[in-house]
Amino acid sequence: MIFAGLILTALFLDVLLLQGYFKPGFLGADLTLCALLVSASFRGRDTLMWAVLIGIVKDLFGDSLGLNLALYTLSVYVFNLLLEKFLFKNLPSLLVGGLVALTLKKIGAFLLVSVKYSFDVSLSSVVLGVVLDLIFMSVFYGTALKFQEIRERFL
Amino acid sequence: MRERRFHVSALAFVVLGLSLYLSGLPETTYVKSAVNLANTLIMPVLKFKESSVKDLKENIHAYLDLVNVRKENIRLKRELEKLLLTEGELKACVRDLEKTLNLVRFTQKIERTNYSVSRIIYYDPSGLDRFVIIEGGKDRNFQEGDLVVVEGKILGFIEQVYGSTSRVVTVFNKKLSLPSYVLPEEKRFIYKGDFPLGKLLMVRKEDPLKEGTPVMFRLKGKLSPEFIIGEVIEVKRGDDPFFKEVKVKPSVDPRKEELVIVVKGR
Repeated sequence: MIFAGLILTALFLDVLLLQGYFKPGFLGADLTLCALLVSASFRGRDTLMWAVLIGIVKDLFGDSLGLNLALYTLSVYVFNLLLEKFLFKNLPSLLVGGLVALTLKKIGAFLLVSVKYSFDVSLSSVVLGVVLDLIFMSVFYGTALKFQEIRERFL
Repeated sequence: MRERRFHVSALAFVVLGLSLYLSGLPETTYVKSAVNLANTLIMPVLKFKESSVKDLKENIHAYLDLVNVRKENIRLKRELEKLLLTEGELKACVRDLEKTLNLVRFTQKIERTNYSVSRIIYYDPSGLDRFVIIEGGKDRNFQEGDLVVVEGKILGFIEQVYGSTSRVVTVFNKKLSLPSYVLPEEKRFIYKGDFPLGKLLMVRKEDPLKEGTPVMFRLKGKLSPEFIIGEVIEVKRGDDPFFKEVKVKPSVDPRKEELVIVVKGR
């Protein structure tokens, strides 16, 4: 329940605040996917279903049915594969894997959206998005570690 | 999650998503109604999103405006401080000016005028009214040169002081000369007594003196009223190449007066 609440909070913050400040929004920072990737580093494959659900909800918010479903699922799937293959157990490894997954998602979004629409890409917006993604993942990872530590100590 | 099931379900959802996005299936009636239903369910959230974004933007703009107002306030505060400083300087200047004025008043040494009431006891028997004798002399501290007036009009000044009487030369006497001026410009001339008409000396040809102009006298360096000597009744160019001939009729008639005022310490 706590996890669900956190993911939904991240989703709302993402669609309510963050996406409005990046043009185009899908190339900017993705708070929800960062949360899902950090979750995947702790919970493993179970996160995939969350990625599907969150992808669908985000599609409904954005009125682009299928786009986020495909990309979120793909990103979390690839991240899981990388996680299992290379056994990421620290923050730098998580950041590298997360960066690969996020880049995959953004390239995929760029290609898919450019099939239907034409748009301008702001390089500063993309760079800022990547920086924010790295910060979000670091913060989430640190928070999750602390939370896990506290839970192990008291339970 | 099993190995195969994980891969298959992941790839299936990816393919489903791509299919939905690329096929345009959401535009068909059934899928669209499902999307609409979902949108209806999350409509409050969307409204909340819109209002939140709007509020946030308004708040950010308000904050930026506030920052500008704060900067403007700081600028205005600086200007106000400068103005207050200037006001302080001006007040200091006014104080200095007042001090200076007080000092100037002290240096002028303006004295109060002392008066004494007397009575004419003797008139010029020749009929030319060149002098009168008044009551009071050394006993009342009268001095030679004290001015004698009647109701603001000059009678003359004390020529000689005796024990209890004094001799006063009048404005009809050739011995009397007074610095005088005429209104309104207060141009200064010299009045010289004579019978029956006195003269105004040092009136230059270009001086616009007219008949009917009053000729005045004021004590120098004292707080005293203006006294009238007489009135200009004739202005002639005369024989003198530089000065006019001006005749003044004295305002006072000694024979009609009895009580006089002696202005002491002229």
